[in-house]
Formats: sequence, structure tokens, C-alpha cells
Amino acid sequence: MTINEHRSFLPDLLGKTLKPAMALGAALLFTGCSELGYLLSNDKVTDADNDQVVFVGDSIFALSGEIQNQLEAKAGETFRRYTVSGAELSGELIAPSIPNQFREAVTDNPDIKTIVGDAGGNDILIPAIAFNSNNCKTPWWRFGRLSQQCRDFIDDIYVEGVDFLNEMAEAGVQKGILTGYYYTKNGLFRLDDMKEAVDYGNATLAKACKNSVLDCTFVDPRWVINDRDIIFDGIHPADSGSKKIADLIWPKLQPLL
Amino acid sequence: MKPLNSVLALGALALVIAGGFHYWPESSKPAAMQAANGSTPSRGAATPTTEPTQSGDQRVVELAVKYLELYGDTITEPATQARLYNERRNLFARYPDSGDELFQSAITTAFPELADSIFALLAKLDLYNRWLDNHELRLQGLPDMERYAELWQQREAIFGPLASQIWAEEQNPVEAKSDQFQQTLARLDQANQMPLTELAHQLQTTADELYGADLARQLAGSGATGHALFSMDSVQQQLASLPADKRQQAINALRRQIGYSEEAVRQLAEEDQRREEKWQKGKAYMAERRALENRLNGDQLEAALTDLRQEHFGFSAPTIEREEEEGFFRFERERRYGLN
Repeated sequence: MTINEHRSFLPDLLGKTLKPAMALGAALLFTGCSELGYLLSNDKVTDADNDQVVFVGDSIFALSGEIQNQLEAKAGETFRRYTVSGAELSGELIAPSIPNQFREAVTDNPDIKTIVGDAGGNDILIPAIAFNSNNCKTPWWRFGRLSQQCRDFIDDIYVEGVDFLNEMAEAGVQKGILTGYYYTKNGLFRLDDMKEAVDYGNATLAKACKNSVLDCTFVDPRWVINDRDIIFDGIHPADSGSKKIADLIWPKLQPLL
Repeated sequence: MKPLNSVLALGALALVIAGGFHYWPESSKPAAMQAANGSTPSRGAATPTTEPTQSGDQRVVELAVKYLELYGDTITEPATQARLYNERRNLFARYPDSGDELFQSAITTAFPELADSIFALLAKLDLYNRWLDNHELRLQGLPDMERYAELWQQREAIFGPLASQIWAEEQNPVEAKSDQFQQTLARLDQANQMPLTELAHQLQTTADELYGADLARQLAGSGATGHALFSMDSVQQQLASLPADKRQQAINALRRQIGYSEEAVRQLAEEDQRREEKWQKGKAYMAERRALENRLNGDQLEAALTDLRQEHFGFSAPTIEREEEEGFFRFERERRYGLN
């Protein structure tokens, strides 16, 4: 079975919530397994009702595809979809990097007016989950004291992020809607300790949005997503979470359609 | 909901014990307790070796006192409520006929406002344990992380958001070994004299030993092992001392050594080169910037800097300017080869 055949097959399995069979895959995804990013992602859509709106990003968007589904339902039209689970701002080991998702979209059709998506989460999360080699986990008794190593690491992500936003602007994109991250929870992975990194990360992503040449709007979901909106892995949005994030994005996207 | 003040509750219960339960309202007594008081023959009486001689009411109160002492301070927390599961199990074992009623009465006495939620939680634990029993053999045959993923899927399905509170302290098989891995990382981080290949070898060997070869390979595949390797000061110091072409060769060799495919090595090397060009451009810009700052000031300096940023960064010049206004100079960050 080719990767594309996998991608056509899997959304049926995903359904409304993550099915038990997919739990194993979700675990493997975050312990790294090539091609699994594709296996656990929504279908790529290169030809949509509205080709000028393109979604790029990681598994927050790609695992269930529900955020984009919700927005398409509100808009009454489909948008192009390049999101892949496991994608990072830099690095191609698990999935195409998010900048490469955009480059692929440009190759398919360079007429892009609006980009919607997220970026940077896996760059922080994967090293933190595996070995915490970026020192981005902060136990609750150290809250308020995110390590300098993690700050430096996230500052690197800022540079990658703002350069990516500028690349999109230079390619003719008029508007970007960049979604930040919410607080992960303890589940399959112990991720309550990521709170400080999420705070600093979102501030950094917001700064990238502000400092970029692209007309960019940052959407911060921290205040609307609670533990009930996150599935058992402690990371991904349940349908309720996807709906809340879509509800935050929609007022920014609607005027652009 | 606030917890019942355990000190007050203990005092009240002590008075009850001293008073011989004369004011225990009959209507509130569970049927089993009434039976234990002698109004109806107790089946439990048939097992004199395990049944104490004291009355059911007295047992209920003593149990309630015990639960308050052990769990009262944190009883509002689901993890504490879940620990009552074993108390109930112990009672069942000791009093096969009346254990359930005893437990319910004791919990209702000790934590009247929380009793219903405690019973509901324990019922879910029953369900979870039945699932575990039914899947025990299959689960044992799964790799560690896959087994753990299934457990969490089921916990979330049964307990919802409470699952993360009940098992808050549990670590998955990767996290459980993280401390040991961190110790190796810390040691290798300072091993400045150790050759690069040996640093990579020891890191890889540690990962293999701790996690097993399969999981270690997956961790390497996720980029986590590479990130750990290139995060080490010992690695960075040695890479920084090499000429640029030798440095890239060394980075490529390290990536191959920890299991990256040739395609991944090639792609990452291209990314390294893109970054290297940015850093070189940035170094040149910063040198010229410093020279301008030494020669000019005020509006003249600002105008010259605007031109300089435009010359070096073109379309992205406004971004560099905004960063500098915030005091962030991206080219003064620490260079971490293979990472940034």
C-alpha cells in the first residue's frame, strides 16, 4: 500500500474520535516512526472549492482533521489541506516540515491568499517527551522558572517561525492565521509539566506573528481548552476541543473569504 | 466542594463512640447494619473467625474514623478517592457478607457530601479492572508503549478527565527511564575530551540498554536522539573547533551513526547549509552594524541601519528591525550546530 493509499484509508478509521486501534499509532507517532505522520493524518486536499485558502500544520489539525472540517462547514466550502501529523517547523524525519507543506502547496497552485495553521509544537514536544533534552518540562514546584535552555530553544523556534511567515509573505500570501497551543494534560504522556513551555511558546509565536512581514493574526486557545477537550494522549483535541479552536479561528477567517 | 473538616469530624465521631451510638438515627442505618445489630440473624455470624465481636455500628464508626485519618485531608482529590478501592477490597475479604454495606456506611459517615462520587468512581474502577482482567494476556504481549497507550485509551474512556488526576504520578515506559538517561546526558555533556564518535556511541548504547533496541530506534527516528546528541556542550565544542567543511562531514557522520537514513542525512545537511548561510550573513551584518554604531549616532545612525538591514535582509528587513527594537538580536544567540 502506498502512502497515498494509506491516507485515503485512514480517515474512515478515525471517525469522530480516535478509535482504539489508532491509540497504538498515536503512541508510536510520538516516539517517532517514519511514515506514521502520514498514516495518522487527514487526507491531503490539493484541489478544493476555495484554493486560495490553504491549511498547513501538525497533528492538532491533521490527526482528526476536525478543526478544518468545522471551518469548512461554517464557510460552506472546502479549503486546501496539507497538514500532517508529526510535522515540525524544522526537520523532516517524521513528516514534511510545515514550511515544506507550504512549498508543496505553492508548487500545486501558487495562488494562495490566506494560510491557516499552526507550527512549532512538535519541535518542542518531541524532545521533551523522549528525553527532555531541551529541558522544557517544568515541575509544578518550579512554575514561573522555565529553564534558560528551553527559552533559548524556543527562541530558535521563533527565528524559524518568523522566517517561515516572511517566506509566505514573499510568495504572495496576503494573510496568515497562526494558531497557538493549549495546555497539555497528563495522560499517555505526563504533560502537565509543559505549562510553562506552552506559555513561553505561545508568547513567542505571537511575537513571530507580530514581527513578521506577513499580515498575521495569532489565535491563542489556552483560555478555552480544558482537560475534557483533550483526548487520552494528553495532547490532541477531542471533537469538543477542535470545535472550540475552530470557533476562535472563524471570526478571523470569515472576513477573508 | 470543601472537604469535611477532618479534625472536627474525628472529634464528633469520638463522641459518638463514647456515647455508645444511642443517637444513631435508625432510619439512616443501612439494612446490613441493622442486621448486624441483631434484629435479623446475620449471615456474617457464620464466619466467626473473621467477624469481630463488636457491633456493626461500632465497626462503621471505627472505619469512618480510620478513613478520615488516612484520607480526610485530600479526599476531594480523585487519586485519594481511588485509593479507597483497596480499603473496600480488604473489607470484602474480611467480611464477605457485610463488607459492601460496611464500606458504604463508613464512607457515607466519614464523607457524606462526597460519598456518591466516591462510589461512582469505585464502580468505574471495577469496570476498568474487569477490562484489565479480560485483556491481561493480550496486553502482556504488546511492546511497552503500545500497552501503555491502550491502558490510557481505556482509562480515558471510563474515567474521562479524572483519569489524568488518578494516574497523575504514573510515568510511561519512556519517561520512567528518563532520569537514568538524563544522568548519562549530563556526564557526556561534560566529556569534552571524548571523541565525537564515542559520545554518539555511548548515547546510543545507553538508549539501547534503557529502552530496548526497537524503541531506541524509534526515538532516533523521531529526531529525539539527534536533538539530545547535538544539545551536548561537549559535541558543540568539538564541532565549533572544526573548519566548516569538516564540521558538516562530522555532523553527517554522527547522524548516520545514530541511525538516520542517507536521505535524512542529505535533507538535514541541506537545512544545515541554509542555516549556515543565514548565520554567515548575520555575522557580516553585525560586524557592519557595530562599525556604524562606532561612527554614527542619532538619526544618521538609524538611517544607516535601515539601509544596512535592507541591504542584508531585503524583504525581511522590517522583521530584523522590530526584533532589535525589542532587544532581540538573533545573531547573538548561541550557535548550536545541527540544531539552529
